[in-house]
Amino acid sequence: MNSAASSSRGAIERGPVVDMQSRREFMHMISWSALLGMGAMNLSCSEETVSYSENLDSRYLETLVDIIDSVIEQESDKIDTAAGYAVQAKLQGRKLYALMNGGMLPSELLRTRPGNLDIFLFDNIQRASRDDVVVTNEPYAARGLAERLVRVIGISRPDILNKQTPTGALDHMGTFRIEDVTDLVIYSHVPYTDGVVNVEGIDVPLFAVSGIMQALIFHSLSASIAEKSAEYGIFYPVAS
Amino acid sequence: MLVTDYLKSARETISKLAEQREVITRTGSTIAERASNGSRVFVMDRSEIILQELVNHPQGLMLFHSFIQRGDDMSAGDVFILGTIGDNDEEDAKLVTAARDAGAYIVVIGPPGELASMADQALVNAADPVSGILTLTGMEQKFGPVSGVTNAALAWCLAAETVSAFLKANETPAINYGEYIVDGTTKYNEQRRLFLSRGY
Repeated sequence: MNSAASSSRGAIERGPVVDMQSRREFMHMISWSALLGMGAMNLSCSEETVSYSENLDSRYLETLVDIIDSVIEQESDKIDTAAGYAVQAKLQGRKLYALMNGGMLPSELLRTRPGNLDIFLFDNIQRASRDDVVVTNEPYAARGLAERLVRVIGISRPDILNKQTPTGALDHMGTFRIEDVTDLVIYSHVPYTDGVVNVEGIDVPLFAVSGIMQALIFHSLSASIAEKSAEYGIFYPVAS
Repeated sequence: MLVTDYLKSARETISKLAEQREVITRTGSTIAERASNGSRVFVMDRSEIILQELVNHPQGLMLFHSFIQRGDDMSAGDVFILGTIGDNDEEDAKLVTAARDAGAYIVVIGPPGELASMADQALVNAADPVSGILTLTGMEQKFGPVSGVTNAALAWCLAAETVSAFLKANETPAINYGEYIVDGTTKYNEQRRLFLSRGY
């Protein structure tokens, strides 16, 4: 340990494992892993200061815009497909249900919210029956619907496992995934942390995007349903 | 197709919020300064959009209080953040007037108009507040709103610059860790104790 304690940062020599006298000594020891970044982290830890972070708002906006671009590029076709399912169901006299929870969603998607189309029943989705369509970000609430031949369209959210969740990130949340109960998943491309801006000194990315992204996907799905329905002379009322 | 029309329009509206960086930064600094001096920060939104995004949201800040739930009267120096998708709602105007009479610092997040003009600082949402951005042959009304998501983005930008101001002063505000992330509950509890001891 003395060799570690007396060595300069970045030149710590290998030595026998000894009892650590302090957290500082332990950090000096492991920084011998020899990555330059490890040495810098050791410096920040030993100094125990929080660094000033600038332009957090612009970093948030830039990341949000990038995520929107990802959805445009990778999910537009699926949103269009999902809208097709919904329109076919309506033409067959079936019903469209929706259950979207979390953050701003219940308020933003209200049927009475100005500008919203009155398409979905925001009712108990377990009332859905064969060939009805359900749109939801609550896969637990959708269990059993597939067995009744209800078509379930999922919109992913960060706190529930989906195939985009990094391995191990949410292991403590079990193994249930949104894909287990849905026919199609529209991915929101929101990281599992929800927060998207790394701030120096804080160990979780901050400032969430999930409410915004899920609302955008739902509104675009509604718009697509309206567009396809118009081809059959079906027009939905708009809240004002 | 309307899917991409809507998403691209929303993207452009949100991108343009960067033009308000100076105002957002200034407002964040004011909030941080007042909170660190013992003032409280209240959020009110009768459409509940920024209320649900700022108050008790994972990976947000603990210093934002819901005005309705709090039930307390505001004190001089407190901050009152009003979120609105309308520009001149009478009930919102009464709330702003009451907050001003109490000596609070008023922030409005919403469209330009009467309510924004009543604020000490307005973060302006240039999206159409009422009828959305999409049109369809055969439909008289526009649909597909972006005002809600734009308000939410502004609210998070404000939270970001509030954190930035705290960090500049060598302080870290209490973080509302999502309990679903690994060790989230433990970290949430630690931050909660910190928050209760100092108010931010």
